[in-house]
Amino acid sequence: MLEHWQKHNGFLQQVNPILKLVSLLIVIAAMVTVFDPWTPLAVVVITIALLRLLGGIPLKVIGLFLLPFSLFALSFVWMTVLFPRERGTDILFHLLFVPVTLENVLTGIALGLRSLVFALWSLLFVLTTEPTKLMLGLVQHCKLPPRFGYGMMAAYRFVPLFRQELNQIRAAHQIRGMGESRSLRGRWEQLKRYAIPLLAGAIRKAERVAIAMESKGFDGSRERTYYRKISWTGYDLLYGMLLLLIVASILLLRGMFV
Amino acid sequence: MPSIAINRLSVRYPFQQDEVLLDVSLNITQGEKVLLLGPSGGGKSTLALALSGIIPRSVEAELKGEVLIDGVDPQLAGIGVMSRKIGILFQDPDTQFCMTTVEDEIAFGLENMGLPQTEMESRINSSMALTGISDRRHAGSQELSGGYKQRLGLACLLAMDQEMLILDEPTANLDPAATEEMFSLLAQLATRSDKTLLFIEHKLDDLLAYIGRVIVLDDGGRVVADGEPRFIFQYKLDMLLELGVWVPRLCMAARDLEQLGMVWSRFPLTIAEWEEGLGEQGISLADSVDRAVVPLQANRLIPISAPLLELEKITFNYREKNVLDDISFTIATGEFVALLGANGSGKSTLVQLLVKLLMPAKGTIRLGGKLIDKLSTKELMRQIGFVFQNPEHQFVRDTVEDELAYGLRILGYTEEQLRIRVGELLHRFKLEPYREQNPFSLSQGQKRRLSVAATLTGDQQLLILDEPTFGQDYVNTVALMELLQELNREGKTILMVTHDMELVKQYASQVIVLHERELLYQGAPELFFEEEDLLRRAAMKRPYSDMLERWKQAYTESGYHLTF
Repeated sequence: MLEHWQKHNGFLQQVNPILKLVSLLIVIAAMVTVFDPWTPLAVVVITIALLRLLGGIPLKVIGLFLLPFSLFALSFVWMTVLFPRERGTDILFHLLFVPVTLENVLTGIALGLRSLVFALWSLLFVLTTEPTKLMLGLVQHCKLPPRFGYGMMAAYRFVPLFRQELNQIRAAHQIRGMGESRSLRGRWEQLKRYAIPLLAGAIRKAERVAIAMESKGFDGSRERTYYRKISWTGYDLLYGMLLLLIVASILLLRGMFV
Repeated sequence: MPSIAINRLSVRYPFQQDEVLLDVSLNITQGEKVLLLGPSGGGKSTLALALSGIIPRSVEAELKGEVLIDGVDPQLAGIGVMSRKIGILFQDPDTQFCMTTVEDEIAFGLENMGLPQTEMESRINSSMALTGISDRRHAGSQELSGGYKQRLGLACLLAMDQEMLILDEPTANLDPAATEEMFSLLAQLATRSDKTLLFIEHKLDDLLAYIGRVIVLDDGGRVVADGEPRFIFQYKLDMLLELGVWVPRLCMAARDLEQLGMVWSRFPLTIAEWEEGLGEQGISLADSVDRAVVPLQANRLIPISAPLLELEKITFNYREKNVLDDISFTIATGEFVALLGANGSGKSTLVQLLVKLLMPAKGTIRLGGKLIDKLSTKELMRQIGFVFQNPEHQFVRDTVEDELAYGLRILGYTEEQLRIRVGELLHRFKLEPYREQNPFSLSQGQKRRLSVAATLTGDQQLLILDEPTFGQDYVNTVALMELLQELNREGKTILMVTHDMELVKQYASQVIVLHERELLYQGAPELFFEEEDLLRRAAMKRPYSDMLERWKQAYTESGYHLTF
């Protein structure tokens, strides 16, 4: 699923992962300083448009990924409206004797939308960046030691294997009469029972992969060449300019309305 | 100068009393094709790792003696130097890659060598072409089938183009069709290139024609035989069997004929040589194609009895994909059934349906006439024993004894009954010395036995096993199969998923074959082996011994003609 979009031939997928990572961090940092609801709303709309138009990701898919985050955002609104740090004065209506004020609603929406911006930008990064490219980018441009980079890749490959193995262990324990426990203590016991075979398997796998990598001449050093170079291209320039343009127009609009 | 020179090499792992390799001295010349034989845990893989210097560089072990590869000591040479001299193809297809796509994986080794991009490009192209995976260039290495993964593993090595390749049981986890493809690739490699090849392998029948030398290690890690394959398999056969090493079926059969009076002008290693040898004596298979006289084994003579397991129109879908389609069959009490099918044909799914680990979309399953939907896990457990492919997955207790008692406790055994029953199981499965040990600390064979023993909570009628001989050596496989046969004779019905056609031939009274989601065949194995068309469709292979037995029969028949 994820891989399908990561490999999609869109504009965002061509942008250097490092640049995308940096822009993600900047957006998050910038949003922390914003308290009105309009700016995050604009960013949410723009980001969805970017994902759809420049990432080629269908709105349905974006919506699906965003659903859990939206619930999270709604809970923000809810909390801020009902239990505000400082209740506002402009009372809109009463909810079971609790006054709901315009100020609190706006702050709530601002906070909720802000969390959506974080979610959307993380999505933008995850959905349009192949892990391999990210790793290569970090190794080639950010001085990440190859030992960690390639080690992480090997570990990443194991995620589906682990899921598969966990399912097998659960089935095996189930058939031996170990029901899935509901009590806290029972769950803890269960966790321990699953952990041992899973860990035993993981250690063995890790050891084998390490040996296989070493037998192919991997020594973790920087003395290596790269088949895929993560280079800076015109895409990155365009992406950077596009972001600047967006920031500029938001600032302008903010100056006019907020 | 020999390309591999080993002088009095001994290796001992930490916390172990005995050496895995003891005083090994060998010289291997450039271009030799060597087969390394020995019992499991007998130091074959250790030798491979010592040759490439990974032992003791990265895998801790105490190493004595001297190893020289092209005159270089792997302990002193760096990882980079050694990886250009020796390549290893490992057993487990899932744990030898670290990148996500085929091309990146092949490139990985070349990047480590520091090759320029254009050179990498051409090497990637040619190695993919050699192994027949060019069309999968951008595929994720995780999506590939086991057979393709091992081809990719080989492609990685061919791209690096080392002078020496060690092939450490690369087909151990593959189904028969994929194994055959892999062997034909390796055979091409052996005939066309002048690389030194060191095979660690136990599916020997297809390989022998390409081997120039056999080296045998015993369970103490000593070299006990070293010579041409014809010599080893003719004169050292007993020793190999005693060590618990797989022996080529053909050589076993040739020896059997010898004992019946056959004198081979040249002891056969291939079916062609076999035919030639018998041809010299005027014996050919054409004389005796009458199959009716092949004796049925005693265990196949169980009379048709009441149906135990009845499947009716079972359909199963996984994430909207159809995995099993309209499967119906009945298994009678007392049968020994082998469930066959290529990887991905739905065998594991089917057996999981039988114990309610999965639920069918349509259809019914009855056990002893009762719908299994109506049975609780406990009742089901009382009637069906289920043994998983990986024994470790089903261990739930900290000692062997507790592990055995666990299932019995659930069924409400009293402490006294428990003591007796556990004692019996420990004895029968040869686990008495380990009763206090943690199941995870046992050897492969012991783990397997424990997992079967722990499943036998008492009076189950049906025992289901999902590839129980997977990864087991000859001795353990035989021990397990004899145990199953014994249980079967005591009246238990056995349903076993397997790829091993020799086991099917030797032990099964019935085969059920799945092919592309459907039931392809149910019936006697002897008859299935006759159906060449079905065999091909199911990606199965007729067992070697089936053919050899016919020859044996032809020989004895002609023998009578000669005597009388």
